[in-house]
Amino acid sequence: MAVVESAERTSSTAVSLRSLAPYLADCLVVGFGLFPLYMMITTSLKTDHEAFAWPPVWVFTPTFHSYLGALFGFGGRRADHYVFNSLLITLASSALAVSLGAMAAYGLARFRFRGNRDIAFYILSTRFAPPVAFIVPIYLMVQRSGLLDNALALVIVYTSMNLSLVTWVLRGFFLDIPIEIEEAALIDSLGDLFMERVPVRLDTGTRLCSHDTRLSRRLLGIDEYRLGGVYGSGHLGGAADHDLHPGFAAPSGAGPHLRRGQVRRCHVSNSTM
Amino acid sequence: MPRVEFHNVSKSYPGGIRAVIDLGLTVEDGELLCVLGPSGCGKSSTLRMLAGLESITSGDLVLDGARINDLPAQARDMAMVFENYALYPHLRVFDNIAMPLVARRVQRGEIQKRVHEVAETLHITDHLMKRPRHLSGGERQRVALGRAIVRTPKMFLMDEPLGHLEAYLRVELRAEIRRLHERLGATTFYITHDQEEAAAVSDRIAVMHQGRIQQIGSLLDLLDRPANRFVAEFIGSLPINLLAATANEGDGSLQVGPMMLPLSPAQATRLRAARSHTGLTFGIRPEDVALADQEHAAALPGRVAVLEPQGDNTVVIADTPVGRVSAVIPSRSVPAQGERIRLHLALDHAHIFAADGSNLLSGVDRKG
Repeated sequence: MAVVESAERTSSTAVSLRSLAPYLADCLVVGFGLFPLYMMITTSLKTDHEAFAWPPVWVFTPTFHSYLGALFGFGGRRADHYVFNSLLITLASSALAVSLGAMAAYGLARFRFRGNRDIAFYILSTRFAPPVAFIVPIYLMVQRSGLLDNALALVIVYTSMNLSLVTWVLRGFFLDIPIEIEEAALIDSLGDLFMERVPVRLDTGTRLCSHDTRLSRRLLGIDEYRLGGVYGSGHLGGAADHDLHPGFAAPSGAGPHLRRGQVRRCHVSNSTM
Repeated sequence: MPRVEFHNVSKSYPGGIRAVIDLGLTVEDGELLCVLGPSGCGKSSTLRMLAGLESITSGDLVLDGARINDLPAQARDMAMVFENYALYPHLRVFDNIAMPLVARRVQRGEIQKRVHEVAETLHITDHLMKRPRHLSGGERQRVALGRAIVRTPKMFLMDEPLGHLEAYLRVELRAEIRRLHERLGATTFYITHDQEEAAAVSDRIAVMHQGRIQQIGSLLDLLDRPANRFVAEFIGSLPINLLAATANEGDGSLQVGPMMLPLSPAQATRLRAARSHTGLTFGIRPEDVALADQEHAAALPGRVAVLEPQGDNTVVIADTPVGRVSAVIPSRSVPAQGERIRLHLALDHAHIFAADGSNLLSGVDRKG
């Protein structure tokens, strides 16, 4: 009796182990995926010394020292200054790129003219090379035009770099809208203003998408922190106190503009990324 | 009194494609004129020129006695129904129908009243608060029709409005369109490639091919007196039999394979006047071909090749000395496959076409 019972128990444990196996495998994968995130968060809560200790320190007393430094002691100014700059620059360049891009995209999508597709492809092709490749030539242009350390320079550079992508994406949206809807609006005498609104307002999907573009634009804008670093940097530009590099990107932005004190922190985030 | 006239209207596209050539056409006041033709025949270009969506290369487009070639679409006071409905997807059905009124700054109460009237007529009152994507194809096209009839435009333009619908919906909606037309009495320009639909909705049918109007008339006119070979081939539910023929100058008869078909003196004179004795084509519809009795002297011998049962009738396709000939035979008396048969051709419904395709004679046996 007792023997049979114990045999049953072992077999049921084996069964439950087998059914647990996929979950264990999942846990491993998830753990592997989340580990860098864990490292990032814990590193941000360590002191500089603990962050660079080898072997890594697993048990430590969390400190918000780095956060305070980033938010309030950042380059001698508070971070909100940089955040505000980032916001201003990305919003301005997004608005510019979307409004200019929408017009170009509408023309490319709707009007038939010689070289239409070639022009569309040319516009896309300007994105083939990484923007970083143009840092130096654009730097010279910005310098010659006397716009160094000026938010306008970044707005112009971001707009020009992203205009192509925005145009391409919006062209796809316009192509998706049946031309008959615009023709129906035309025949219904909805007027030219409505004509322009129809495609843009068409449905929530498209509206969301245009937000998407703007979002990705903003992300791209922030992502190009290196440019901000170069063209806005006090170090390269000469005016030490007017850093314009977009706020959050700066710590991980490897680059010539970083002050000596920041080099270490920069290294940390690069290694964790 | 909206009346539309096309005077020598042509449309060429860049690249030298001539979509419409020298079109002369009048849509009378209150008439539903249907332009019927295969795709690419120029009917859409014609409609779009009329709507103001396409420029006119040459010629005059006259509406109510005034030339409107250069009038922009929104000033032409027309309403259009598109094949793919072209509803505003971000608006509810109510707002879709109301849009032409909103654009004309009609008072809100009046809009409410008229949209509800239209919805009632088209049986879409239950859908007024839905968005187009939640409607079926038939319902969407009803909404599009509603958007067109909610105001009283000078004329209606319909661009294959039933093209995207399933067969039973097409039958239902074309009756609806005919009913609406009889009630509103509006001048309507309707294009389609479906002859049944054209016959069901229209007052007159204009057959178009390769940018030119081939013939205008009722479906019966087109069937009985096709202006040319193209019309004869395009119209009719079954393809017409076309057989090579030659005219005998001596006795004024027509030779189709082994058959000698007698012609009246007047008919022989007409053939002679056309100066084309060779390269003639003899056309007869399968409906006018039957199995021959003993008394039929001039019969076409053949052997049954294919049987296509269609219910009460069966299409019998036979190999004859002049090629394949199809005939509609009552299913009860259908011969077996491979059987030798004799076909009787009802000559009073036959046609003779010249080498250039023009119709020389319709009704070979008719005297006169």
